[in-house]
Amino acid sequence: MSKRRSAIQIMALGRSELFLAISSALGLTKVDAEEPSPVAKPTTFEDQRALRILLAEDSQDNRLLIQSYLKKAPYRVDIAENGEIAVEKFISGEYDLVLMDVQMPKMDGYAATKMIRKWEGEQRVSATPIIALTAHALQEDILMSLDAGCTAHLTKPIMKATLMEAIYEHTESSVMA
Amino acid sequence: MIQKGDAKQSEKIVVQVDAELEDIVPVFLENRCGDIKAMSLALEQSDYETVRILGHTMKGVGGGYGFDAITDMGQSIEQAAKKKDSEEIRKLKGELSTYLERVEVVFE
Repeated sequence: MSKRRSAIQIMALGRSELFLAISSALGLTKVDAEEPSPVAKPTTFEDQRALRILLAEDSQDNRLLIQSYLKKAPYRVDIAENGEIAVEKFISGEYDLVLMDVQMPKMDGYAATKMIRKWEGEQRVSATPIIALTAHALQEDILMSLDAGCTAHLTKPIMKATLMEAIYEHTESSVMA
Repeated sequence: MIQKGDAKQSEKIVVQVDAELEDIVPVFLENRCGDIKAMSLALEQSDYETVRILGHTMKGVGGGYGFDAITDMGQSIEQAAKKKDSEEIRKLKGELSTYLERVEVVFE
């Protein structure tokens, strides 16, 4: 807080608040430190850059839901119906983020994530954030996805706000770069 | 999302859903009717793994569309399938069927 703001605020204080402010300044009353202001998040989709997202999900319902959540965002969403297709698309494409369902036919999300991480290691490219999506809420399931190489984990059913926040959080550093 | 009415079997269950999902909710509800048929078939063949997967998928998707009751029923179906409890699965299948008949979606 700047000195100028402090002075202006004290002028607007009532008697009890003024007493508290003075006793705080004299060290007689402990007041909580001001919370650091959080990093400003984009409030509209226009504030966000066009991300390339790979959505690996076998459930049509969940694919439609996530696509619907993201339809107003400037994102390009590619679909993979199983882990095998997800690995193929990841290798041949270029993505800022992967949303990886864990339970999928042919190749599950854990195996697909491990293959992606192995490929990234061989190619010496930086790791793309992979967010695991599971209907399991158990701690061991979360640990399994992290062990496989996922960056984060979201528990289904996925709510729009949770998804948007996770996408923002895990692509923020690349936005800043 | 608000769900009202539980007292009578004939009463409508009103579920308020985000208008953004209006295009996809009919498909979602149709797919649940498909789940009931698939569950009946799996039960006939004592294929509890298929029933478990159906329940698991329902659990993972219902709430996202605004149908928390479907998530809850999916979870119960998944648990019953793990125990190979055919009687409980039939009961839950009936509950899901009644729910789908009574549900009335209001988009807002």
